[in-house]
Amino acid sequence: MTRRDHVRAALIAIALLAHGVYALPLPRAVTDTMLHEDWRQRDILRWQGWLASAGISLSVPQLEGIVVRGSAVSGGLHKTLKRPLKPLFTLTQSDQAWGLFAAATRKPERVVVEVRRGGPSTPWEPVLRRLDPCCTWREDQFRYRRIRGVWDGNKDRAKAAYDPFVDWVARNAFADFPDAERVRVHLEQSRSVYPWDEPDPEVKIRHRRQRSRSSL
Amino acid sequence: MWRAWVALWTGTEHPRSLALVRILLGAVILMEFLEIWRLDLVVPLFGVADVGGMSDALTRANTPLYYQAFPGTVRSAVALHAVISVAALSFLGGYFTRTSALVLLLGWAQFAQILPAADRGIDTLCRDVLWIFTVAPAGACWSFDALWKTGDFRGDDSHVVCWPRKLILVQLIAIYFLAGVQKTGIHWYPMGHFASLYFILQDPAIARFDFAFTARQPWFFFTQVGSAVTILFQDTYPLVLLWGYYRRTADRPGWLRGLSNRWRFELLWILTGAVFHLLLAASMELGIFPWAMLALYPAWISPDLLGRWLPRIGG
Repeated sequence: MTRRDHVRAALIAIALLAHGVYALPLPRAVTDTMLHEDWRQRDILRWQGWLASAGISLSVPQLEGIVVRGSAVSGGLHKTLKRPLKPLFTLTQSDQAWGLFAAATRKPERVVVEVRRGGPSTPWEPVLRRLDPCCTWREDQFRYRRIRGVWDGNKDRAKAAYDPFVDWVARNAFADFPDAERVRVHLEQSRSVYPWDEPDPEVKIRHRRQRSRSSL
Repeated sequence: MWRAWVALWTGTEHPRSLALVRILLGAVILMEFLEIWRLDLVVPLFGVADVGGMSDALTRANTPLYYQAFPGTVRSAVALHAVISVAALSFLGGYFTRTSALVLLLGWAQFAQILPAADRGIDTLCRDVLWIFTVAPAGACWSFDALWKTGDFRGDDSHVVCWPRKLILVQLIAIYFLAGVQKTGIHWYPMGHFASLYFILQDPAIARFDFAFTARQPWFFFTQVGSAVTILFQDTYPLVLLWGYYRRTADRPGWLRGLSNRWRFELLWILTGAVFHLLLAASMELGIFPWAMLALYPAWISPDLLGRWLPRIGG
């Protein structure tokens, strides 16, 4: 083995260590606010049940405290470990956190675009509703994964790009429907249930935005 | 132990497997950026809000380097897309291969910073692999670099270092295993009735078609099997390392080694992965995800075996 072989092996070890640090599946810090999201509360109750069946009795506030403190430590540790490498990983936008469908959502959303062709008494007309054969306006663009990434997400707040996305939708709608006076965009959130459960007909409208022809 | 580590990354092989990964990955990346152009999304995705884009790059605190250096105009947006596309084409053709990989990596990273919401996991994976190509001799075969250097597009059969192909395999193993261990959602497990795949297929943002019929039997059962196989396949993926080790040490004793070598256990994981990606491509709107993952699979094929499979162009 030559010196070159040793140097190469050392460099590969360093690179793998750096990526290994990014790959560590350490939970991110969970705040009190995040903890009160529905799905986290359901998980807390499930964990409480499982721990109780294993003979460990904890109240919900106790369990919540453990989650907040534990995740703060693990999230902080991960941040500290990543700090020396951050400039390089930021420059190349590299990472090793692969949460591919880490949790399947039971609150799927579909984007809906509606136009209004007259005054306030005129009904809204849906022109795009994902996977609805009635409304397929510019479907190729809306189903493209990068566009989906802009509007899709179960957070309470819309992403930073959501409002510029609505502007883009409105500009295109006004161009394609010359008689449209207003454009409205929102997300329809439904709830998926197990096949043996009663279907939940409730649909929640989220992040509704409206644009008028004169405002653009 | 150190000597074993050094030995692992030392050695040479024919460059055809690495070149095939380069060509397939380059083609997938090029198609991705041409798709943005075809869909008329260059300015919406690369541009800032003032010129009709969706990016807040100029109004947020951490403005990406690209928009620190260039004005937020339509021309800047189009130029970045063009640089990335040309670099992808150049990488695919093996023209200044390492430099092309570097330009592609850095340009793509700027795009990711301009509109983070439009950047998905598969984009990150491609950039992680491009790191390797910035230093790997992937242009030694089936490339303009080879044509320039040897007078033959196929190269001159000179062997190159084998570590880049091994690193790509490490990346593949890492992505599957980490995706498995990070599946924390209860529906991947018996407590959640293995219903993850069923719920994913009910998501109109993801599903390619209306999969409401999967609520009926036997379809729901098939989705449960799919969820269970996915988690089992991903969590156990590192076993391919063990099966590979057994194959390299076939002369040693052990019933598991014998069984693994007789039945080629690693093929079970590799073929399951390939089928998994084809099913994803058929059922979900995941863009380049299945194809970019499959583009890395030739790294599993040893250059000698590939040479036997492709005798005419194998060189």
